[in-house]
Amino acid sequence: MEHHRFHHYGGSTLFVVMSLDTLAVAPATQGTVTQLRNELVGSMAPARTAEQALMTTLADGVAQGTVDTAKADADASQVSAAARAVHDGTGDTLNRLHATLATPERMALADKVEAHWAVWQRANADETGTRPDEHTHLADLSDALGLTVEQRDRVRVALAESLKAVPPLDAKAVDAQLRTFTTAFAGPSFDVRAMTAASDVDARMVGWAASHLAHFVEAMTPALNADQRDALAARLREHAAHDPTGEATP
Amino acid sequence: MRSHDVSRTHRVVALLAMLLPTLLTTGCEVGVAGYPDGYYDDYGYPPDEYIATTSPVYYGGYPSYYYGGRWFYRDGGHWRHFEHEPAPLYHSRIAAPPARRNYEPAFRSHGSFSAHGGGHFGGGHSGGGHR
Repeated sequence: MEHHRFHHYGGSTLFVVMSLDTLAVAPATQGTVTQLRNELVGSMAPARTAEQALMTTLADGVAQGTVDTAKADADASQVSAAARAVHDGTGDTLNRLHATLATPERMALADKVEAHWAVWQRANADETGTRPDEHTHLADLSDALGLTVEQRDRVRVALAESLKAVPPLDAKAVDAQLRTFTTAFAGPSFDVRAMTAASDVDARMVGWAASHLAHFVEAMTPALNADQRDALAARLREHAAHDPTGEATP
Repeated sequence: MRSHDVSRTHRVVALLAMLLPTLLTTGCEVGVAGYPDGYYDDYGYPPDEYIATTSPVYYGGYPSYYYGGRWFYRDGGHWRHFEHEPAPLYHSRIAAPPARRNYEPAFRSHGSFSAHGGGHFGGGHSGGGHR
């Protein structure tokens, strides 16, 4: 859950890579699948670097007590632009992945991609934390940072105002695009290059997430004390350095 | 054969005749319970977090997931489970627990689900595979 709140850079390609981690492919094709996974991870590298820059900007701002919003916005735009390039650069790899996997493995990957999308939506929904019993981002961070009720209320008000600047995500468009991808991928014939709208949908999804995270942190920072700011900055730096895609093989 | 043995044999044959259709339909390794999309894990089917992070075992042309004491697989848009555990899936489960992948940073490494429903991540990369 927390991963999907802080790492968005690859869009649907990141969902595919994460799905490969637990696909349990046949031993005969494992080497090829690992190679294709590494190609996908390599294609996402510029987007990951852009996301790291955003995290660092946010961490620096939190530590100092004020986030440089202009720089954070520029960093978020870079993440979005890099995400568009990810999709454009992975078509051949995804087509070869489809040709390599057996039908049940493709079905499993399709299920996993849709599951990651469902988790991603829950992880990034209702950030205002109006329901204390829910594991919203604000609720989880409030527990982790030890926010008082007053601090939490203050953040909630600031968040509601700050997030007005973030255009809402068209989740239905993402959902439709992902279902087009998963349905085709599970089927016998597949060509990701025919999905011309995918890169735009990916870029919008990643751009929304990056901008959303930036505004979330910007709104939260003024309400925190020094210790809480240090803890949040440390968490952001940990996520900037955290690279789950480099830790597993299918 | 004594008379009471004959009578008992007749009763057994009659009972088998009565139960045979049921045995034929539920005794096989087939999924007999379907779940619509949106049927949440309160009702037993594996949640998205589990599907996203757990290795399946491939059996009968489907990826299957052991969750809450049952093997689930997706047939079209519906989740189904095996009413009777197929032997290959049983052997897979006994050999190794489902492989899980935890994406949280190590210092917050914990989870919410297990193959038995609830509890912590199993961890490790064993399990999964083709049957």
